[in-house]
Amino acid sequence: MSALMMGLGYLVAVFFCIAILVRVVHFANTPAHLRWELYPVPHEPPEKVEHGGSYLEDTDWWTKKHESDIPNEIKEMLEEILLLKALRTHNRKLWYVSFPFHSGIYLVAGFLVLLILGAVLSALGLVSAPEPGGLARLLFVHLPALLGFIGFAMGLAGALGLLFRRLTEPDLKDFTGPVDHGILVGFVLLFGLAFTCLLTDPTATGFRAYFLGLATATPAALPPLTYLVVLLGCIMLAYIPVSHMSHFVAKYFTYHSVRWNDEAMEPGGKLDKAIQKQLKLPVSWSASHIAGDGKKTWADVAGTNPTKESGK
Amino acid sequence: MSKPISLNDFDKPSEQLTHLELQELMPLPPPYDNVDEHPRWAPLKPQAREKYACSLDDTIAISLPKPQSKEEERELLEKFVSGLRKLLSREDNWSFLQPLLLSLEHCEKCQSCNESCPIYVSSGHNDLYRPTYRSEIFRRLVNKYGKGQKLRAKIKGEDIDLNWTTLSRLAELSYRCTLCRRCAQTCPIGIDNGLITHEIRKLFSQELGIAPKEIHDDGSMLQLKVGSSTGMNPLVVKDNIEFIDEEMEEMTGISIKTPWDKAGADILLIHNAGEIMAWPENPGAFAIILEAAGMSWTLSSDLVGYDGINYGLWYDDVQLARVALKHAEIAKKLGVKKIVIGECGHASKALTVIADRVLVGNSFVRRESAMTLIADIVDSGRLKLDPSRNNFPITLHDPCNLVRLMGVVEPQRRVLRAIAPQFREMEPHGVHNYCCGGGSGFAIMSGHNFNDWRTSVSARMKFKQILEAFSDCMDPSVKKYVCAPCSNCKGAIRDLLAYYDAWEKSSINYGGLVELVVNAMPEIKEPFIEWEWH
Repeated sequence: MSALMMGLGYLVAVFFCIAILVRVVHFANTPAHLRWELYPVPHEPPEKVEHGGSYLEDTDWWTKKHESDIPNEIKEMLEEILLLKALRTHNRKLWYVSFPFHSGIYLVAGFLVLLILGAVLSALGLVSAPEPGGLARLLFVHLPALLGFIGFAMGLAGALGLLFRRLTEPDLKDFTGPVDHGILVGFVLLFGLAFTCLLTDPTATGFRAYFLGLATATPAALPPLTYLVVLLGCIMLAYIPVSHMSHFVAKYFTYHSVRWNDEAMEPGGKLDKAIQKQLKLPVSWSASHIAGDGKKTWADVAGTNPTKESGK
Repeated sequence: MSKPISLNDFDKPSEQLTHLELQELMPLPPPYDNVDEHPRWAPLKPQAREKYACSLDDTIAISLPKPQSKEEERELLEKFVSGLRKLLSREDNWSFLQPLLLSLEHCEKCQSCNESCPIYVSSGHNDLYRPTYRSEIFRRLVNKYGKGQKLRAKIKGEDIDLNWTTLSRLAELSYRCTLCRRCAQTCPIGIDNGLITHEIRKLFSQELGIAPKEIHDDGSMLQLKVGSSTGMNPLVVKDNIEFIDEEMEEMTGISIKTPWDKAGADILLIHNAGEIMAWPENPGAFAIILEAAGMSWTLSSDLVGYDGINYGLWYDDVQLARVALKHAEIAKKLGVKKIVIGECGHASKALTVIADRVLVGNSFVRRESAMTLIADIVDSGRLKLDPSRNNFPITLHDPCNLVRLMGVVEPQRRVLRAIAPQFREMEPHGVHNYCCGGGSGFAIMSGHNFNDWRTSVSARMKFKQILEAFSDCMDPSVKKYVCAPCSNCKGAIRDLLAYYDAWEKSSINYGGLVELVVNAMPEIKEPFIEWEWH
C-alpha cells in the first residue's frame, strides 16, 4: 500500500508537471495572431491608464518613446491573482465563495511546498529531526500546519459554496454538468478529509512522513485517513492540467498575449518577420470569394480581388 | 417573463426558440416609459418564414435560405464541420488561433459577463442572448465535431446534435452580438465571447459563404468591385465631393477645394464613404478644418482609396486583409506620410490596430485616427474658436472600436471640453461605454424586421444612456446634440432617435465631432449645425 501510494505520488507529480508544460508550450507555440487588445491596458503610463487610453491617442505616436508602466501591470496582476479583482467587481455573489476556494488552494500550495522542501532538505541531511523551538521546526512543521489548517478550511468552505451555487443558481445550473459537480465534490472531500487529518494530527506527521518517504524513496506507513487524502489529492492534481481548471496557465496568455498585447509593428522587426512567414501558409477556406485550394497562400488570397477574378 | 431557454433546447427543432414581448424589455426612462407608445414590431412575412431559416427569435439577420433537399442540408453540415476544423488549424486560422483556443478551453461558465452585455440586459435577461450561451453552444460543437470528442461530450453532459436547426440557429445567433467586447472586459480569466462570435461568423463566411448581404455582397465585395460599399465609383465620388465643396462655400462663405490624389501630401484622409452620401457636412467640415489649419492633405480617387470601411473586420479575415492592403498600397503610391481615418470607429480599428499585423514588409504605412489630429489642431490654437456658439447640451457617444478596442478616449473629449460649454458625459462612458447597438454591421443591416430588433434591443441601452444624459433638459424647447464620432454609430443613433420620435418629442439630434468644431468658428456667420432632422 505504502509503495503503491508512493508510486502514485511520483507519477502524478511528473504527470502534473509535464501536462502543465505541454499546455504552456501548446499556447506559446501558436502563431503570432492579429492584435486584439482591450482597454484599459495597465502598462500604459498612469495618465493614460486613468481613462483607459493608449499610445494611439498621441499624434504621430511612432515618433515618441512608448513607456510601459510595468509596476502597475504587476500590481494589476497581483490584485487579480490574489484578490480575484474582476470577479469581485462583476460577480460579488460568486466571489464570496470563489475567493475562499482560491485562497485555500494558494495556502494549500504553500503547505505542500514547505512540506516538500522540508522533506528534501531532511533527505539531504541539511535539516535533521526538527528540534522544538528551532527555526526549522517553525518553517517545516508549524508554518505548514498553520497554512494547511487555514487553507483546507477555506478551500472546504469555498468548494461547498461553489457546489451550492452551481446546484441552486438558475444562471449557473444549465451551464454546470455532472463532471463539474463531481470535481467540486472531490474538492469538498479532499479539503474536508485533509482538514480532519490535521485535526487529529496537528503537526502533520502523516503528511510529513509521506513526503519524506517520497524524498528518500522509502515507503512510509501512514494512517488510513492520510492514505485517503493522498489518493484524493493525486486524483485532483492529475485532473487539473487536463481540464479548464488549468485556467491559471491560460490566464497568463489571455492577459499578456491578447488583452494587454499592444505591441506595435516595427518594420523589419521580429514580429514583421513572423507575420511575413505566416502569410506564406496555405489557405484552404473554400467559400467562393476565397477559393483556397490548400496551395494558395494567405499572401496570394489577400492580394486577389475576388470581384475581378470571378467577374462578379 | 420569457420561458427559460436551456442549452439543450438549441438543437431541438421548434418553430421559434424564443419570442420577445415589448413589456419584457428593459424599461426606458420618461418620457419613453410607456411601452404602449412604442412602435410595434413588424412580424416576419409568411414568404420570409417559408424561404429563410427563422427558428431562432423574432427576426432574421442573414436570410439563410432553407435547404431544398436532404443532400443540400448534408453538404451544409459537412462544410460546417470542415470549417470547425479549419478554425482550429494554424494554417487556416493563424490570425486568431491562440485567442480562440484560450476562450474555448478555459471558460468557467461563471456568468460574470452577462450583466455587462447590453443586449442581454435590454432583452429583459433573455437566456438566448447571454454572451455565454452562444459560446457554449459553439464550444460543444467544436469539442464534439471539431475535435471528435463524442464520448467526452456524453460523459460531461455536453452532447449536442449538429443538424439544420443547430446550424441555422447558430448562424443567426452570431448576428445577435455587436462584438463590443464589453463582456470580455469583465471576465476574470480573459475569455472573450465577442471573439468567439467573430470566429463563428468567420466560419460561416469563409467556408460556407454565408454572411448578411449588407456586409458581404453589398459591403466588402461591392467595395472591392467599384471602390465603395455605397456604390460610388471614383468619378461619382469626385463629383459628390465637388458638390460638397460648393455646399460648404454656400453655407460658410469659405472657399473649399478638396485636394485629390496629391502626391507627397502629409496626410491621406480616408472617410467612411457613407458620410459623403448620408452626412456630407462631415467631410465638408473636415475639409474646412484641415484647410484652415494649413494641413497638407489629400483624398484618393483610387478604387477603395476613398472608402475607409472594412467590413471584413466583423466576419472575414481575408476580406479584411484585402481592403487593408488596398488602403496601404494607395498610401504608398501617393507617398504620404500617414493615413488618417475619418470619423469611423471600425475603419479606424481595422486599419490601425487589426491590420497592424497584416501590413508587413513593403505594405507597411503609418496610420492614425482623426481624433488625435483634430484634438491637436484645436489645442494648437490654429483655429479661432468660440465655444459659446455651441452653447447647447451635448453628450458624447464612445464608439467601441475607437475607445474600448483602441484606447482612443481623451482626444475627442479635449475637443469637446474646449468648444462645448454644456458637454456632459453619458454613464458609463469611455472604455466602459455601451455600444450604439449598430456595432459589427448592425447599423447597415435592416432586412425583414431586423431594424425593429436592433432599435428595440441592441440599441436600447444606448437610448437609455442618451435620455439619462439629458434628463435635466428633456423639454423639447431645449435642443440637444448627441456627438457620435463614428459613421456606423451615427447611423444607428439616427435610426434609434427616429424610431422613438426623439427629435419631435425631445429635440434630440445627433452628428459628428468636426461639425461642432466648425460650428464654433466665428468667421462662419450662420450656424453650421442645422437643427433639422436628417
